[in-house]
Amino acid sequence: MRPGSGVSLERSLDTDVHSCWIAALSLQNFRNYEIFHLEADQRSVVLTGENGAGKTNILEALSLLTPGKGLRRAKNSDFARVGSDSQNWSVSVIMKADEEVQVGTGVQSLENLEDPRRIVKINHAVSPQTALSEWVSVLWQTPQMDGLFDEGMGVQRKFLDRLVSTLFPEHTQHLYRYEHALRERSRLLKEGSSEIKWIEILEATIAQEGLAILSLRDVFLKELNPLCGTGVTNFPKVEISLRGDLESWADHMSSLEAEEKFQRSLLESRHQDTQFGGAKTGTHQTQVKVFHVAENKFAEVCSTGEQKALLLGIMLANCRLHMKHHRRRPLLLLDEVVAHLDASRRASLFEEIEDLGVQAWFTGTDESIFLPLGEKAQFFKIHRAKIVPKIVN
Amino acid sequence: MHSPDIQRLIQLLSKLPGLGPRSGRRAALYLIKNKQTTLEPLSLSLIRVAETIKICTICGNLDSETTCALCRSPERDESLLCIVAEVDDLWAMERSGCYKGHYHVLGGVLSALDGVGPDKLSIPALLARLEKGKVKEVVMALSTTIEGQTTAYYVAEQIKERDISITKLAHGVPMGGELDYLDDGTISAALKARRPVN
Ligand SMILES: Nc1ncnc2c1ncn2[C@@H]1O[C@H](COP(=O)(O)OP(=O)(O)OP(=O)(O)O)[C@@H](O)[C@H]1O
Ligand SMILES: [Mg+2]
Ligand SMILES: [Zn+2]
Repeated sequence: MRPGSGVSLERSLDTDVHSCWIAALSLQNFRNYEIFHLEADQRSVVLTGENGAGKTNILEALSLLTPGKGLRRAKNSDFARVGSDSQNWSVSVIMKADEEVQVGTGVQSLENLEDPRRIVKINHAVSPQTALSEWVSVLWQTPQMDGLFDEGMGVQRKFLDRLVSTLFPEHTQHLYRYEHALRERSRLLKEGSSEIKWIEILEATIAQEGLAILSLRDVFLKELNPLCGTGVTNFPKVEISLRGDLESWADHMSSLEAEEKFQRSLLESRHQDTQFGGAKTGTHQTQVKVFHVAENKFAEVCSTGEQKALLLGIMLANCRLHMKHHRRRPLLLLDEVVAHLDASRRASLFEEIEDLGVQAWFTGTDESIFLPLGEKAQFFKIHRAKIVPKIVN
Repeated sequence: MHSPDIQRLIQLLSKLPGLGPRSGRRAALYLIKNKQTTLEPLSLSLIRVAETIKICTICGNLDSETTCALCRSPERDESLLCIVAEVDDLWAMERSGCYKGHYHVLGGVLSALDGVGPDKLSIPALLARLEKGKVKEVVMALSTTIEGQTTAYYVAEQIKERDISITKLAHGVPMGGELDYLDDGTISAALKARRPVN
């Protein structure tokens, strides 16, 4: 762990971190929105309205400013408005960073394809999805993440890998190649293939990609952990660690030795893997342990409220990490997060977000819980996919 | 709605890569409207290609002879053999104009999930060519996907016991990049910076 990480470093970085916020958002044929336009200033945004009004859909639209499938992990064809005869849709924003940037994304296709491609345009030029990360970071927390610690290890691993990927985009490629090579190997094993050389090559690839995954997760956690619990309030300090065969080998071996050992273990487990599928060891078996430092207990035994606070603590630390790496402020999407916090935690969260200087997008059904934000936020009430005009007295 | 003939034309056009029913209909209508300038020359060209184009028995390229122009050419360097997955990769290499050796088209890449094993690739023909002893360097020009790389290592494994150096293109391109998408400059840079397969 490097000296100087933690509070002092964190405090010193604020000065040259650039702002990044949404000044306008337009939706076309997106989810329940036929056509929608919203203009905002630099402050955080509060979206309220009845169930089904379209609040989460707006956050989802913003989550598409990152590569991938957005906060619901949806297919590109799911975004088009049900009931319209076109499968085309678009999300377009004007973003204020160092300069003004126009970003658009959506499906623009003449055909009704089963899996249409999502196009990205930055300042009106078609760009690869990965180019988005050069302009903007978006972090989110949704109600779907609530059960995170009660579900299987796979869910927590995916959660961690998502965090790692938002900071190190190449992580996605390593995961994809790892899983793909693993599936190819499983198929050959299942077919009882006699192509030993082919299997060996795949195992070498799995070992190589596996070590890359392990090391990116590790680097990420070495940076994230010290930033947990360094905010201005009492959000709990969290420590995330990894456990597994591979991890323990990597602990006392060079990464080349660990890679060779991993490859040998794949060779040795072929028979077993043929029976049970997958592979006995690997980064797809890693256990992700989240530890509540002050309470001295693991997340899975924490109360629902404590778990929520842990998740928020991780998100705030991740936000700091992004600011440190990219020198710009991420957008935060907080879907239904506030309603489940007690009044003091709620106040802490508002304070943290103000301190970070980010534009956060909150949703909730009840406007009153956001009132402590006062003039520090801008409020929009959504009703049936429209903004309800403010009544001026 | 359409006459059976037009319906059939639309159906066939829709199956072309990149097209679908809607663009198939547009293409069909365009052809019919431009009978003299497009439809008739196109139909003649299709018939001609169907009659004359053959697969080169040596390298797998497409040509009007069973030994293609590249394989016949005395100008090409016989000591260099470039391995590609498909004919369009060969075309991409040729377009770049930076490669002067011969080719071998494998006819695909290894993919267990797609049911493509070594038996579906023209590896025996490749080994037979190498037996003649003229090739000194084999250049793998396969994509950087898992399938492409697995194939490169697999083929390298088959030919390694010979006195032939095995190299691969130095792709500085996004993973999964196919040759066809690379511009000529990138291909020649990747060729110049090719490095040994270990
Ligand atoms: N592709 C689609 N086309 C049309 N409507 C859709 C589509 N996908 C979702 N919807 C609808 O959009 C509406 C708004 O959904 P959204 O999740 O944004 O609601 P919400 O305001 O967040 O509500 P809640 O308070 O219950 O979370 C829902 O009624 C949903 O069924
Ligand atoms: Mg919602
Ligand atoms: Zn030929």
